[in-house]
Amino acid sequence: MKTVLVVAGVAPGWVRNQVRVAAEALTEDGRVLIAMSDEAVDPQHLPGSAGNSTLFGVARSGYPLWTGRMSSVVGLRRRHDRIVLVRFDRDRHMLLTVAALMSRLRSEQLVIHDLSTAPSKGLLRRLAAHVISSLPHSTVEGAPAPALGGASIAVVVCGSDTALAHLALRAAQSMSADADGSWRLIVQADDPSVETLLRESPRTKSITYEPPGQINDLVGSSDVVIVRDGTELAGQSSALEQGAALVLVGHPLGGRMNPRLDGAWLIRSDVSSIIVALEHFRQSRFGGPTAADVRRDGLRLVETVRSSQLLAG
Amino acid sequence: MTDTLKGETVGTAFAQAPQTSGLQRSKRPSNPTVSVIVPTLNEARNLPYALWRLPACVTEVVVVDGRSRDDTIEVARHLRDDVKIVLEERKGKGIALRSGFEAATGDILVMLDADGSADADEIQRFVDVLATGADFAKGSRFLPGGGSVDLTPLRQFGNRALTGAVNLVCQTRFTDLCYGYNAFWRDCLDFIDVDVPGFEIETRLNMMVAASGLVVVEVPSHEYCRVHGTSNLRVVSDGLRVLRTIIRTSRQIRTGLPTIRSVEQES
Repeated sequence: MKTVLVVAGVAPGWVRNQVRVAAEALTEDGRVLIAMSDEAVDPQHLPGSAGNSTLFGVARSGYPLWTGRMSSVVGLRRRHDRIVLVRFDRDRHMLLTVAALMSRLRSEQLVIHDLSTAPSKGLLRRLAAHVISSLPHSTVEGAPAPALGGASIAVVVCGSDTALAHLALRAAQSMSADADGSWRLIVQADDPSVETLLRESPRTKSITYEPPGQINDLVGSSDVVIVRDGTELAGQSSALEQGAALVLVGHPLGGRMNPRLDGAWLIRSDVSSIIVALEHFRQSRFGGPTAADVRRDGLRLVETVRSSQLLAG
Repeated sequence: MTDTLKGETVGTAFAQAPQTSGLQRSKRPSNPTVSVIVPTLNEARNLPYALWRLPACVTEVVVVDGRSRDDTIEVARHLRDDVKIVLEERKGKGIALRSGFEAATGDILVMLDADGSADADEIQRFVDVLATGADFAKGSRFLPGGGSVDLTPLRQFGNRALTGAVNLVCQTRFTDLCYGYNAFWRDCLDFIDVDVPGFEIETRLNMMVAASGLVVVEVPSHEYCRVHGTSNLRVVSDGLRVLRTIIRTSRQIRTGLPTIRSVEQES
């Protein structure tokens, strides 16, 4: 069962993240191609980040997420069983219309994933939107973006690693006053003395202590999960499964290559690197839904794609 | 090390000039200490980006703050235990760099912008070039391997024109004039004086090292976008200041350049 996700236009970071989550889940059914009309222009492109490639990433299952270009968007590709058109603000309506028409001509199952937050403006765009919305077998609406200025949640899973807790504390202290309000750091550590340390430290309104307990509950409500590289914690795998961004501290390649193909960020064990990783993830989801909403959306899309496939079959 | 081989010697036109006879290159340490000088002005949010990829060869970080209104100093202190903070009352990047040079103790001094646009990991390239015999390693965005995502066509045109003017005056082959990512041996301070306040500092520095007969090697460097905030650079007004600096320095090259050492002796 082959699936293609079509992204027409320069998508913001949170849309690409949403596409990735859905694509990862769809790899369970077979090959997935992500067709993008435009080069991803990342204003937050940092040193060490790889450029565009034929690979969007690697799913947790180990399957590659292949990328296609403009030709794939307009239908010059092999026939796929399912096509998901991703709509967002400032997408390229005409390209999406062509993609939708081509998919219907080729009897592909068409699903629209609507991530747009505002109605289309202009006669041509409204007309194209009308055509697009009349063609699909089903449509999945994205979750509304939360109000801007809300704090993102990062969980630091320390376990018995007190050094990591200290590092997180220093990162919280090192954040500028501007960035301080945009994060809530939760430090989970076995050692209860960490709590005293956090309480007594100045300038740590944004950091709280969590005793050892259910990691999954914490991870499920967080945007970023920070763990020491090499520790076999349940948080590592569940973070990626639940759509949160994973940051591996102290990785040998940390500081040289930032994002791994499975989406995890590799950083060195220093304060600056933690702040840069946190800021990067905040920027990439700025204006978009939280990690938990992204995951819910992705799963809803996958369910819809599968159920409409059954109906079409 | 392979990267450094791509660097090009561009400023040896005055290599036989008598000014550098005081340089004792053979006495430079084989395992030099490296100081990074970071001039800041309201860069609290960008400072982590400037420092997060510092290579292991860096032994000292000097942050020169020009009366920031935000918490730049506090952030810098938390980011690194060993950071040296210099408070500079006077305004201007050139003044801040001069204070930083005086406070730094390393054998090699590196100028690094605080806005996160420079990749600190490239410092190793600069150090390698200096270790192989150069006096001054000059970053260039226009060499193969370098680049910029922050240069507008107007800035690029202005930079090219001003670079051409300096090459004509100094008989050099610089490819990039107005780029603030440079490194040099401490003893080169005897031959230069950074006595200009603003963004014309790079121009002044490049012209002085070339005119002094120091061995200048260009190193490919990539410039990224400023992460937070807006640049203090004004294209037209700062371009005119650079032009005035070129004219003034050209005159001084004929009559005798002031250096930090000569200025200190006079005072």
